[in-house]
Amino acid sequence: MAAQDDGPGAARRAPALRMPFPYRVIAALGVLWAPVLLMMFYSNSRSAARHAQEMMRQQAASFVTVVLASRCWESASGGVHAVEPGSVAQRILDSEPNLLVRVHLASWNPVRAASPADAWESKALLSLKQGSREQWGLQGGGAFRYIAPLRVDSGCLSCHKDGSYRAGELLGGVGIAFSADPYLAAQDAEIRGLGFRYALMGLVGFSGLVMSARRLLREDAGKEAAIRQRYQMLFEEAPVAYHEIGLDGVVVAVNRAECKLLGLEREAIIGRPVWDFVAPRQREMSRENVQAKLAGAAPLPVFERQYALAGGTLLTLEIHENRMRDPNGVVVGIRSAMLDITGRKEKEEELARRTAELARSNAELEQFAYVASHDLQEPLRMVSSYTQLLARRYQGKLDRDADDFIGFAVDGAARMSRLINDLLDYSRVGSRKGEFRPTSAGAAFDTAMANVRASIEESSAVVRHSPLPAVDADPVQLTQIFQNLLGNAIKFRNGARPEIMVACEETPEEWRFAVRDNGIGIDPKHADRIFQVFQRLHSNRQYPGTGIGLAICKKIAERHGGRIWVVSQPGQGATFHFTIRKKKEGLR
Amino acid sequence: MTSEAARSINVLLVEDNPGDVRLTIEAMRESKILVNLSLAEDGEAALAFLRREGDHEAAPRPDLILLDLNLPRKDGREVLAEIKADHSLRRIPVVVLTTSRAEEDILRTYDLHANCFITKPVDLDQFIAVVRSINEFWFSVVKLPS
Repeated sequence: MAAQDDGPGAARRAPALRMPFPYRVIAALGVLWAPVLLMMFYSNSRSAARHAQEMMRQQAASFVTVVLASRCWESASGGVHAVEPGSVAQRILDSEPNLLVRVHLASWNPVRAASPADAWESKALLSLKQGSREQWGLQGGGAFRYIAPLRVDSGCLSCHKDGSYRAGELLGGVGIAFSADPYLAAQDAEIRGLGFRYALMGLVGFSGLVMSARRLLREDAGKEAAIRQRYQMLFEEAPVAYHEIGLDGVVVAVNRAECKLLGLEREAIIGRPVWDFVAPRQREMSRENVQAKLAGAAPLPVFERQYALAGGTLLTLEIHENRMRDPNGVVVGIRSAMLDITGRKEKEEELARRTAELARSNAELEQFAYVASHDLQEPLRMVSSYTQLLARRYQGKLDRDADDFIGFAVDGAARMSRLINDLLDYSRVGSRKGEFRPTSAGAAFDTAMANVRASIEESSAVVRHSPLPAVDADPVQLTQIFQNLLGNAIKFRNGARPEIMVACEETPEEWRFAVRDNGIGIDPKHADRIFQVFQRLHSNRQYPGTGIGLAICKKIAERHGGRIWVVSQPGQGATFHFTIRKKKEGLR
Repeated sequence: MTSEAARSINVLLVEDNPGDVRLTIEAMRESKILVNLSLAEDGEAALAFLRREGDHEAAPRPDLILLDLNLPRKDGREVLAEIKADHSLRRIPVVVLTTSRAEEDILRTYDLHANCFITKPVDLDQFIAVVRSINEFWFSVVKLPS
């Protein structure tokens, strides 16, 4: 299974080919097993050889002991002749013809000149002379040789009384020689046995190791197969379209969801370059991109691509990609997950289109209101001016009816002029707007106060306010909203002296302003109507006006991401609330 | 007296709406100062008159120009820009007399060196008062270049 690409660093990571821990233990045991067995075999063989030689040495030593002991015994019984060691040995040998032992009395000063010491004996005698208790060794031809010191004792002195011998004097050595073959044969047999045993041990050990290794391998293979199967299932059963491409851009694997998405059989997808399925106008770009991604190591970003179905239908797909790597980290292809976002895309586009359309129609409407009211001014001024001119020149010169008619015409023209001007003001809230910028609500309020000073003084109104914050707003419009609300609070007074309180509260999202008065109040059933253009609750005679002021306030609040509403009961004053959103993203 | 009469006051009214032309004439009539009012009905005619081109060879040089902004062929803003860019014409005071109350029109015309901006009042009495003030201000208060 390919390793997951987890970023640009993955490409540079050294490909680590490390044996898993259990395999390393097995390999180490395998490497150690042979030397250990060899060493044990060698050591046991050596000890078998030593053992054989020791047997031979003891055999020889005991023979020497017998020779010397026999001589002593003979000397004690009075026999003189027999005391001579050479003859003792000879007699023993003669008495047991099967004993294949050769005895030779060696001396650097031999009694019989006919049997001098040979080379080995001369060398051994030298060692005995230096105090050695015995000398032995194996000689070529399979002979074991042994020599022990021969000293003068009291038995000797009983014959050799001339004073030439002294008690304890080293005369030479008793040499023993016999064939080592039986011992060596036994030793070889023992070593062969050892060899067989160790070979067996080696074999058993190695087979054990091999079997464990094979068992481990089998287990790992099983685990890997299980993982592969799980991966295969995830890949195949995923509700997301998946495919894998090789280094040549050709699809090597594809899952059920993608077959379904593209409406193609698996065989129709595998083996073809992935860009074959891309919409024709993006195909060339897709080919270049895929090849660049396979060659490069840059991170693979999520992107959108149009795929063409057999019938020519275009799908917009959001594609998430990962490079696939072999265990050594070498890129072997790319795996892509594809989400069908055609519907979402269409909805987004539809929404954007509608939003743009709405914005355009709003802008057109505002432009229309502006142009219409602007251009209406011209003819209206003519009507108004000439009816007035008529009145000026002919008032009282025609009859009473003519005077009335002229009066109505002049009145109507004047009212229409006010309506047109108000409509112009209303349309300008949207079309002649300023930037949102940090604005002192206190300063805006003060400007509004200055603008309505005449009516404040005329009505002796008392206006108080709590501290007002700095807000992000269009300062001209903030002044306008304060001015309209103050103007209304004064205009709709109930005969008493107007008392107006302006306050502001902060919430996490917005600033909430309140303008409270002690005026005539409003029936809650009209609470919405009063914010509509030219909607009025009173006759012009009671409270003059066109009914545009609150509509302008509403438009201003909405432009600032807020709203406006009134809380009131008839005769109990009214509190107008409006809000300004703190964050103005998306607002114009 | 003769010299006063000989030096009559010339005003060029640039206005395409006959109703407004007549209204201005009526208002002028009601003011005390007598002026010699010439009329150009579009922007190009106004500039031809000022430059004494074509039929306007004998045109008098106006002491004051009353300029509407919305004119056919060449609108008031362009006419204003050309007058103020012309060395021989730029000293003639230009009073922009328009129905517009728009802030951008006001800024724009002052940027183009208009001498003043007046919105035509809807009310006749006010209109007559405005024309009277124009005449009084420009022809008796202000000292104009001769």
